This record gives sequence, C-alpha cells and structure tokens, in this order.
Amino acid sequence: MSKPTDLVQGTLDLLILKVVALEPMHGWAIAHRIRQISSNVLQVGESALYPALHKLEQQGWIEAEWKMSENNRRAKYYRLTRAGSKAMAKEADQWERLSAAISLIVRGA
Amino acid sequence: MSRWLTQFRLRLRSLIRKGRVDRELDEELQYHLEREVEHGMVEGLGPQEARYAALRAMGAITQSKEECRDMRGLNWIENVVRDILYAVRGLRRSPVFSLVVILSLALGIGANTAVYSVMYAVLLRSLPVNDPEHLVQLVSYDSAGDVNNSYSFRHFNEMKAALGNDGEVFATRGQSLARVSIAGQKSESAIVEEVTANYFTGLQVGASDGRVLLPHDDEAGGNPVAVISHTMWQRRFAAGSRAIGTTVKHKDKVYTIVGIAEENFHGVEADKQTNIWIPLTVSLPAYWLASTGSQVMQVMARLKAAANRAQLESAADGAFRRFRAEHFTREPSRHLRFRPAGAGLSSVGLEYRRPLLILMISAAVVLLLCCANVANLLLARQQARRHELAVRLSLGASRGRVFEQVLVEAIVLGMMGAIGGLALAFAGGRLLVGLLPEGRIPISLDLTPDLQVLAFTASVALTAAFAAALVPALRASGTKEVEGLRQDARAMGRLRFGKSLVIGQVAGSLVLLIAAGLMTQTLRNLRLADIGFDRNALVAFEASFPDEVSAERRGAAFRELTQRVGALPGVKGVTYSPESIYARSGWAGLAYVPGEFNPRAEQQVALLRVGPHFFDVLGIRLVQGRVFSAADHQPAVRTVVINQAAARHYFGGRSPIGQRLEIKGDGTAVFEVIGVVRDVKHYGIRDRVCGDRVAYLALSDDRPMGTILASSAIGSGGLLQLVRAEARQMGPTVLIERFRPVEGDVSGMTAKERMVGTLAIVLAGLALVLAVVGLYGVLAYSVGQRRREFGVRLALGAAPSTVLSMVFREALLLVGVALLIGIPGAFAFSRLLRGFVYGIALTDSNTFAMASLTVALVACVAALIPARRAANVDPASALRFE
Repeated sequence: MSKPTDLVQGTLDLLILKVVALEPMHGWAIAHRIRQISSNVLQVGESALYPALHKLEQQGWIEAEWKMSENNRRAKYYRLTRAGSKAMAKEADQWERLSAAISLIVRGA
Repeated sequence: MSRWLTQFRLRLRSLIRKGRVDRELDEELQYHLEREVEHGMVEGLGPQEARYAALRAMGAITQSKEECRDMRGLNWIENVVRDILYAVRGLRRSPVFSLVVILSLALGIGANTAVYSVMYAVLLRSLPVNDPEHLVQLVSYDSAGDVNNSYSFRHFNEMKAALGNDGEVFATRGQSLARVSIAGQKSESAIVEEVTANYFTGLQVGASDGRVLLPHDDEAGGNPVAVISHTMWQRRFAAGSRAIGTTVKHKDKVYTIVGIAEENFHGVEADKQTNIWIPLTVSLPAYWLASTGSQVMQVMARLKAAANRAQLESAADGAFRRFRAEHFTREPSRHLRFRPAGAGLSSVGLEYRRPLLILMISAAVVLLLCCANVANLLLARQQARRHELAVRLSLGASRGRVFEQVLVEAIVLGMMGAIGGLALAFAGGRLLVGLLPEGRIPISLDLTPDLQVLAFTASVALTAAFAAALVPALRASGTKEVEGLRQDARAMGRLRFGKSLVIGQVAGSLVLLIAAGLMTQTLRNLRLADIGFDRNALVAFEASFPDEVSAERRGAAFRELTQRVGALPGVKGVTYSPESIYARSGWAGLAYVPGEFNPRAEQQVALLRVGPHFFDVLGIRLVQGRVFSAADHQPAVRTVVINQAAARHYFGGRSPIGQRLEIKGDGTAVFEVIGVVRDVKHYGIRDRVCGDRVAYLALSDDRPMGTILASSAIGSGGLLQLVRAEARQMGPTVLIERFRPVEGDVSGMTAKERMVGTLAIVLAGLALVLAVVGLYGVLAYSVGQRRREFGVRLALGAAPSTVLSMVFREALLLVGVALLIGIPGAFAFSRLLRGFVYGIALTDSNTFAMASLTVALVACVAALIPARRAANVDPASALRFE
C-alpha cells in the first residue's frame, strides 16, 4: 500500500500542530477544525489523520490524555509540547519558503 | 533526552500493554465515527444515511489501525512471532522435508558439540576455585620446545623463595592409586594425592567440615594429617558420621583426618578425582626430599592480582637456572615459564590438544557439508513456493519481510536441529571419552552439558541456519511480482549454485577421506610394529599381601606365589619387575665407563630391575654373552645386561662383555656387563627415551617385588581363575590385582591415535554420505532441466547409452573440479597430522589415489538413478513438456 507522499505528510503534520497549538483537541475536532478554517477545501480522513497523530505522539511533539468531551463521552485529547512548538515554528518556516518558491514558478513561467 | 525516554516508554507500552493500546485505538476511532454520524445528522441527513455517509468517509478502518500500530514502532517483534508461528505451520505441512533437514542439521551440530564438550571438559573448564585466572603452572622448555614439568622438592623450595610474597607456590606429586586402611579396617583402594601443605591455601579451596591442610603442617618433619574429598566422605562414611579424627594408614604411615574438602573439588587434574590428600613432607622418604634427582613434583602458583607477572616469571626463571647450574651441569639449558593453569593440570589435555583440534576442524567441515545440503533443500522448497511468494509480494508484503520469513523458517529448523544435535552429542561425547586410554586411574570426565556448551551449540545452530538460508532468502526476496524472468534462466542460476555447493562438498569429503586414510594406516602400523618382546602371550598382575605380613615374610610369600604360578599347566614362564615393561615413564639413571664420567656427554640410561628368567619369558633375544642366571640374582652381585643401543654408545665396535660400567641409580656402583640383548621399546613405539639405551639389573632373590609377568598358552580369563586359586591356597588375604594381558597396556599407549583415527573415519564417512546426497540432488535437478534435450537426442536416434554417458560425464566433471580443489586442500590439512602419522608419509600417493578413486566411484553411484532416468526419457512426452 502506498504511503502518503512526503510533501502531503509533512503538511498534514504542520496543520495538526497549528490547530492543536491553539487549544487541546481530540482527533475528530482537529479534522473538523481544519475543514472549517479551509472552507471545506482540506478534508482530512481518519485514515490519514490518526496515523499522523500517533506518529507525532511517538516523536514527542504532542501529548495525549483521555478526558470527558463535550457530549459526555471519553475522548483522547492531544496537546502541543514544548518540543512540538519549536518543531512547529521550524516546519512553518520551511512551508513558507517552499510555497513561496512554488508560487514563483507556477505564476512566473 | 527526556523525549527519547518518552518515546521509549510509549514503545514499551505498546508492546506490554498491547491489548489495552489496541482497545484505546478502537475507542478513539469509534468516537470519531460517532461524531461523524452526529455531524451528518446535524447537516440534515437521516440517521441511517448519516451512518452510511460516515462509514464511506472513513474508508478502511483496519488499514488505519494497522498504520497507527506501525507508527508505534515495535511491530517487528510481533512480526517475528507471527513468522515463527507461520514457519512452524508450514513445516508441519511438509513433514518429510522438515525431518530430513532437522536430521542433517542434528548430525552436523551434534558432531561439533560432542567434540567441543570433550575439549571443554578436558582443556577449558576452570577449576572450581576463586579467580582461576591467577593460577599458573611452572613448566620448563629447552631450545627444542621440549616441555618438562617435574621438579624435585629442593628445586621447588628455591622457586618458592624466589616468588616470595607475590605468589603462593605449591606442589603436588600427582595422584596415584594406593591401598589405604581406614580406621584400621581392611585395606582398600583409594586415589591419594601427595601435596605440599600450602596446596589448599594456594588454590583457595576451603573445607566443608573441619580444616584443610595448612602451611604449618609442613614444619618440623611434617604433621601426619589428611584431608578427604567430599565425594569420598559421602561414599565411604556412614551418613552423618563425621569422619574427622579417623585414622588412615598409607604405606606404613598413619594419618589423621582433619577435614573434608569443599564439595566439587577433586584435585587439579580435570580428568581424575582425588580421594585423599596427604602432606608429602610426611609421605615421601627423607632422602627423596633431600635429593635433587627425585623429580616427581608438579609445581603451581597462585599469583597475587597486583603482581607483575613478567617480573615474577623472570625471578622464578632465575632461581630455576641457578639451581640447575649448581646441580645439573651436563644438561642443555632450559628456561622456565608460567603456563596458565586455571583449568588445572590435565595431562590428558596437554597430550590431546592437537588431536582434539583436528577433530574440531573435521567436525566443522561436516557441518559445512550439512549446511550446503540444507541450503539446497531450502532453495528447492522456495522454488516450489515461488507462486505463493509472488502473490504475497504483489499484495504488498515488503521484501524485507519475505527475507526475514525465510530466515526465521531456517532458524526454527536450526533450533530443532540443535535439540537433536544435543542428544546426539551427549551420546557421542560418552563414546569419545570411552576411547580415552585408561591408565592406572580411571578417567572420569564430567560431561554434563554446561551453560557454555549449550551456548556453543546454540550459536553453531544459528550460524548454520543463517549460512544455509542466506542464499535462499536472498533469492526469495528477489522474486519478481510478475514472473518476468524466463524460467530457464532461473533454473540455470539455481543449477550453478547447486553445482558449486556440491563441488565444495566433494572436495571437503575428499580431504577428510585422505586424513582418515592416513590415520587408518598409522593405526595399522602401530599395531603391527615390532616392540622387541612377545606381547601376545604375556599377562601381568600385582599381588598384595595383608598388612600383618612382615617384610621378610612378604619376600618369601612373593617367591612362593611366583613358583606356584609358574607350575600351573599352560604357563610357560614367570618373572617379575618393579618397573613397567611398557609404559610412558620409567626409571632412569646415569651410566658411564668408570673414570670416563663426562658431564657434557649423553649418559642417561633407562634402568629396569628384573627377576629371574626375565628375558626368556618376554622373548627378548640375546645377541652376545649371556642373560642372568640364578647366581646373578644373589644379593651383592653386580652384573648388568645392556641393550644394543647402549653397547654401541659406550663401547663402539668393541665387545662389551666383561667390561665395566659405573651406574648411578639408587646409589652408585660398578657393574660388569655380562650380556647384550636386542633393543626393546619399553617406552612406547614413538618415544626415544635416554637415547634408546637400556640397562637391566638383576633383582636380588631376597627382596622380590613388582609386577608379576607370566607367559601362558591359555587365555587370560582361565588363567586368572587358576592364579586366584593358587593365591587363595596361600592365604585368604593374598589378593591378585589388575590382572591384565600386556597387549592391553601396549595398545593403551596408542589410544590417542586410535581415538583420532576412529573419529576421523566416522566423520569422513558422514561427509561422504552428505556429498553423495548433495550430488544426487544436483544431478537429478540437472537431468530434470535437460529432459527436452535428452528427448530430442533420443528422438533423433541416439542410443540410450549415449545419454547415460552424458550424465556420468557431468558427474565426473564435478568430481574432477572437486579434486582440483580438494587435493591441495588435503595437502594442507594433512600437515596438521605431522608428528602423528607413523610409518607413512604425509603425502602418501597411495592414500591420495585411493581416496580420489573412492570419491569418483561414489559419484558414479550417485549418478546412477538420474542417469537411468535420463536414458528412459520418453521423447514424445519430453518434447511436449512445457
């Protein structure tokens, strides 16, 4: 089975980190928030989301905790760690440079 | 750092709390599904539609779960476990294949483990003492590398003083089978070791009850105390009784037991078990302790941990040389070295180091041959399953996992082979030990598998499995998803690999065959060698008289016994000698023409004291003069019979009869030479002792003693009964001991060669069988591949014999290449046997030719069935074959 390409994977990680940086959220809420903010352009399915979440947790960039959610059910909440916020800054920086470069080429030639 | 810790903790949790982690993941995904449904309903869909929409949006849940698990990173352990179970299931489905592979591996692994466990028990296993790495033995070497490790008591004291506080130097006279009387009861046999009083403190062995010998027991002429071994205490004393305070009588001296040694301590020789330790300052006669000639002690030392070993060695060497310069001016110079003695003084070990090494190499070769066969079998199996593999790869299995799976299968087989091998090794090891020579002391090696031996077996099994599976695994993981390569090309590759393996196998078995051939001939030569006396009709035994019999009465009793035995029907003659007529060591002294004592010249002779009719009974031929008559055996008569080598050395071409020789043995005296006899090998067929010079002295009749030798026409079993009957008539306590045919003593000396020879033959046979099996497999496969070719030839009118000869030619070609590799290999391997072979050259052309012929013949046998199948190919069906 083909794994997501590096570009998409890296971007998804950045999106997750950004969303979680604002406040701790569970998986569905993260996907929902990304959909909302991007006006339904970016639809993240759980088949991409959860592996990314577990990987980020494994890397130590986010932390998980089981808490009561808004509909009185237990859910796993993710929170940004200090290492994660540093990584996030770096990734965001890289993304800016990358997207700027691509825009130049796409718009230019 | 803490991030790494968190990561590790998470991974560990995934592994240990696997169930819980999985359930959490389920719960998380379930929650996501519910929220999606809710969201759908909020958007206006009905509950059912919302659910369908959610499920569609979520896609393959299992896939996500799998990916999540992957992210957790410890999946490979799960994979390995799953592979093991899969391998076991697969092997159960092909029982024949599994059995064949497991048996082959068991043979190879078992052979190696058997040889290694004997090597370990004899050479490597440490003594049960603290810090065995600090123990050394003092041995001296001359310029030719000749080793000597016996010293006199005075010499020992010098070296002890030289090491001072930095080393505890102690000595042992070695173990001997002796008769002792415990608590005044009937005398019995026990193994007695005479040691210096600091023996136990030097070894750092304690007592399980009472005390061990302490250094002060050597003072003031020695304290007559004794220590017994734990085993002896358990065996000999009633349960619970203390044994301390009991008296032990040994050679007219009485000792009091003061303690029992630690459990598991049996002395410093791995293959012998001491029962009783006594101080040698008490047991040895005073003049032995004072003389420089009685070199009977082996010296060891425990060096202090902080000591500078090189410095101590040179200090001891200095003392050694000074002593020798003072007392042994005539001998070539020797120097002293420390030899690590953590494993004890095993004299068996020193002698057997090379033969065991040769056996280890042979066993390793057999293992390689096994691996080659197993590799071929694995390759064939993988070939048969290539469709399954292709499907698996196209379904997404990674090549790494396929490689791993083939490897795991091989390792499972390897482990099972190891278990079989251990069982075989246990039986085989006993066989090996059974072949070791039994001197006067039975050899008892503890061969129970040690942790080290088990570890060795496991590593051998793993290596074998890995080596065998490497190529098949590489091939398997290289399978294309679509069978892109043409089948013929694949088959060619496999055939080439198989052929090169077989060439190696045949070459290996050739090398072992040649070695076995050389050894067999050596054994034969040793058996038939002429040692100078008639060993076939001779029997030997010792007689022991009860302790109450006084020394004078003992002489008369001895004489009476020999007369009675001599009068028995079927006995042609009786004689006796306190020295062994065929043994590795004996008595030696100096001999020189009176007035011509030259310290620099070679003047050592072997000395044998003999009773009446010695030369007749043994069948030693007289060359000049006469042998001893009754008059010579009177006390104070000084006559000597010498052998040809001695005659040549001392008197050159002149007749020695009537000449005089001064002999320095037990005291010094001048003897008249009355006769010259043929050279007799009293000390082994190979060893040259004292330049082969022997002087025979006549034992005086008033003090007869030693081993009684009788030449008889009846078998030893019957003779034993008759002799025992005579002894019983003399008195109820006259015992006949160690009744044995002398032939046994003689062949006992070649036990080393016999052990190596037998094993070399067995291993060579194994190797040959393995090579045949491998050759058959390759030829059968090759014929299978060439069916179409044979079909065409037969269809075009070729005679079946042509096809037959083609197959044979293929087989002989393989053998030819194998010979090209194997013969130089055999040259190199046989160099290891140098010093071992007797009466045959290392490059004996007959042996090489016979071995090559055998291999060629065996190859033809292997080729028979495939050749017949080739000749019987039905052209029509062969041409149709896809």
